[in-house]
Amino acid sequence: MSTPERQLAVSGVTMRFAGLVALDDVSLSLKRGEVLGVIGPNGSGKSTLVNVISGVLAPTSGTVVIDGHDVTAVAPPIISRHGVARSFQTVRLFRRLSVRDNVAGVVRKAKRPVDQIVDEWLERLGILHLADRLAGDLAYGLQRRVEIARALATGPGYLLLDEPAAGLNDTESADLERVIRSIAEDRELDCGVLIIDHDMRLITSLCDRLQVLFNGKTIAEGIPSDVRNDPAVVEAYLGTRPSPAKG
Amino acid sequence: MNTFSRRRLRNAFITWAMLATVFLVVTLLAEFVLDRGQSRMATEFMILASLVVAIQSYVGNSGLLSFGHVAFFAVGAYIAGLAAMSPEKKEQFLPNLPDWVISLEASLPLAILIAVIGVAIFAAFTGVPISRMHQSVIPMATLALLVMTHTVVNLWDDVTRGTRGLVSVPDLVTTWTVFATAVAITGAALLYAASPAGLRLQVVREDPIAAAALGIRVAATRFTGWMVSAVLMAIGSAVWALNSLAFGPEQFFFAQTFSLLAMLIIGGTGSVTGAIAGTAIVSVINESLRGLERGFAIGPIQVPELPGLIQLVVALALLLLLIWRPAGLFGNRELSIPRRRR
Ligand SMILES: Nc1ncnc2c1ncn2[C@@H]1O[C@H](COP(=O)(O)OP(=O)(O)O)[C@@H](O)[C@H]1O
Ligand SMILES: [Mg+2]
Repeated sequence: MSTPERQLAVSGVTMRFAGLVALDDVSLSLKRGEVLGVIGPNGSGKSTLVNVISGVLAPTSGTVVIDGHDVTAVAPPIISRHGVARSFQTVRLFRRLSVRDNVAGVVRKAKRPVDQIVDEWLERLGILHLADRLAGDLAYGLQRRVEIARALATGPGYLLLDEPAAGLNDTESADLERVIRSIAEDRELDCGVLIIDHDMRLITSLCDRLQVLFNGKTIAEGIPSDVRNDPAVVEAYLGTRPSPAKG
Repeated sequence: MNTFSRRRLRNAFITWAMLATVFLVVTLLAEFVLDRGQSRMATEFMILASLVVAIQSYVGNSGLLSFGHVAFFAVGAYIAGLAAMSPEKKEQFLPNLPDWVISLEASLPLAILIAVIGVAIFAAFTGVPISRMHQSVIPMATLALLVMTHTVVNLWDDVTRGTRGLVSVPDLVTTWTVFATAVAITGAALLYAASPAGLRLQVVREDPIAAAALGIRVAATRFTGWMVSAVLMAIGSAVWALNSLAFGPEQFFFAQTFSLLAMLIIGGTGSVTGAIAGTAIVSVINESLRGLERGFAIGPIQVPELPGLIQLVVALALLLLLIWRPAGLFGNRELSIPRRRR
């Protein structure tokens, strides 16, 4: 193997649950600094894909390769050490710990004092003023931010966000968009973002590329404007609901 | 060192200073004010508090109830007792011990050291499989550990004298050594809880799945807490043994487990302060009811002996507390200076 490519590559992943095929030969790639949107109706396999990448589920077949290392079916902590961090569709914070300790608890190595690093992440997510509150006591939108700060504190090369905007109001959602863009554009972080969401406006404006899942299969991929007009997508996904976005 | 949060360390230090002051006051009272009986109670309180704090460092940070710490207690106490007993007494009571054990006559520090090593080995062997288990079965596994250990202690006549127990254990402990032990164990428990490893165990307690996804090795984290706690337990057990002079297997079984865990839970599993407060409360219940347990008279009516009264009252207190304040008196809070507004 020559210089490993700096990307997250999923190839031919199939995930079966007792008869149900949640993912059917799905491949994707995510480069550092790129924002990839994964969309699809409920039950199309998006969360399952994140679970396979992060090691929560071992795929029935296929591979996951991070920066040239095959990490298929490797335990979650090791995948995290390879630079993958994630959020959960249903927020999973360390509820009885302070916001600060939620973030501090996952910092592995620190070139500077950990308190400083934690404060910087909280500042960046706009939640520094809540640092001493118990994470479980925060409003939902704020919990989402803690979850992202916590994921970033692991120093990821790839950040996987499973419906981070679900349940947020318009202002919160716009704030989130700004945060995610600043992460992707931060050359020092050098982090790629995979984002799952149903909000087409958010996805279209944020993502460099989109990949559409339907019944566990990839039915389209490409730049957002092309994907949105793809007949298969319109029929399978956007067709099932009134298009929430204009223009 | 950068991963040590200075904020957490500072808070731990403040709590430690305050709790050490409490122990200092207890010690000064015991030395200069109280009568012999009361001073003995004060010493026992500090030893029990050390043991409960040692249990807290695992149970509190991991959120996993452990019945196995009394197994560590037994192993630590017997090892320290055997190490410190004079060769003549061992010759007399335990003639079948190996010669090198008989010839050993350990000082207090050496007895503690040997107990720590013995308990650490025991904890390492049991901690590896237990730490890998799912959290729902870990308490049951620790209960099995307790029962196994009790059975071995009960039956291993050549080493433990079985049900007759160890006697003629030398008294190597003063009120000041007990004070030092309590302060050291409290400091170590607070330091561990404030350390990155302790914080990781709290993180695993809150959500092992999210913790693993964020890079925390759940089993290794639990194992570390198990070992830290076992070592503290060994120190407390050794001091307990060398203060008790004689003890037997029944002191390391269900009643003891219940009593120590009740102290922990009443005070609040989540904090070292709570562990010490719970120990104080249960100790006071114990002492105030001890007289009643032996039977008493109200005017002409003679109330007979009430064996088990203490346990009944402690159990009732525990039950009421779990109903009204399930996190215990202190919850996750430690003694500290009131927070300044910024
Ligand atoms: N652990 C699991 N066991 C069994 N079936 C599952 C499991 N996880 C997901 N599924 C099923 O796989 C399909 C895809 O689910 P999911 O990946 O959550 O979809 P999405 O996130 O796109 O809404 C669904 O039919 C779901 O019921
Ligand atoms: Mg989903």
